[in-house]
Amino acid sequence: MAAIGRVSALANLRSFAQLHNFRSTVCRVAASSVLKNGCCSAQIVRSRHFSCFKGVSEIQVFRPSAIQGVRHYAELPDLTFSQIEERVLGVLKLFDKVSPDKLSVECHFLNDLGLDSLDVVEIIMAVEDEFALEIPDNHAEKLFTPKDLVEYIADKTETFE
Amino acid sequence: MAGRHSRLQRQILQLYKQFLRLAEQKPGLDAHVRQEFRRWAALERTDVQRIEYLLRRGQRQLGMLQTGGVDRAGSFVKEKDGQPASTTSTEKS
Repeated sequence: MAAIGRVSALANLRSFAQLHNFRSTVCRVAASSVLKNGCCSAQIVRSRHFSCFKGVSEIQVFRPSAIQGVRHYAELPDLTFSQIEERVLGVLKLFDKVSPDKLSVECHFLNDLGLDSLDVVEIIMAVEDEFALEIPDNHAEKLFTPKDLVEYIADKTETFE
Repeated sequence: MAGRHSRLQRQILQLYKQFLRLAEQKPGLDAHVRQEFRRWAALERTDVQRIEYLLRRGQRQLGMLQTGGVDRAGSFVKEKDGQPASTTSTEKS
């Protein structure tokens, strides 16, 4: 029953398009929504995609944004201390020279993890990308452990425990 | 703890960072940058003249890559007696 409804709805759309001798995106959008949903509900028929079939001139006014919906912008929720810690450790785990079993919050990059200063620069860069902030070089050279990083980021993003 | 690195070390780490930031836009460059910095990483700390020469060379190359029309790079790595030798080619757009 649903299949028949779908086919007839499509046929109606096609004949409608032929009748008015135009193939607009509106028809295609409507047809594809029929195909996706599997049936042509009354809600779709009454929706505004069809209401602009009154005349060709109104097609110009049709905006795809009306279908795609409205974009909302919002600020990110405030970071918590544990979230920062989790993300910093996640970044470090992805770094291929760090072995995940040796990794802890307190471990020293140079002494415990056996990294060198070039690796530390790469870690700092990865953290910068992760938190979308800039760490100046004179601050970066004082950060030796994941804990230092977490505290620095918490300070920069104004996060308190 | 201030000033843990020497001035020269700081300059080199800064150069490394600048190269890697540049390499984000130019595919294939980062492998060469890492390899080249690693290659000279074991240089003696007292070999200041050589380090300064390499630093200046790096800065010149960085400037060239930033202004020139280079949009990607390729490098070949050949392991020979544990001493990696490399050749690099850069493509201009």
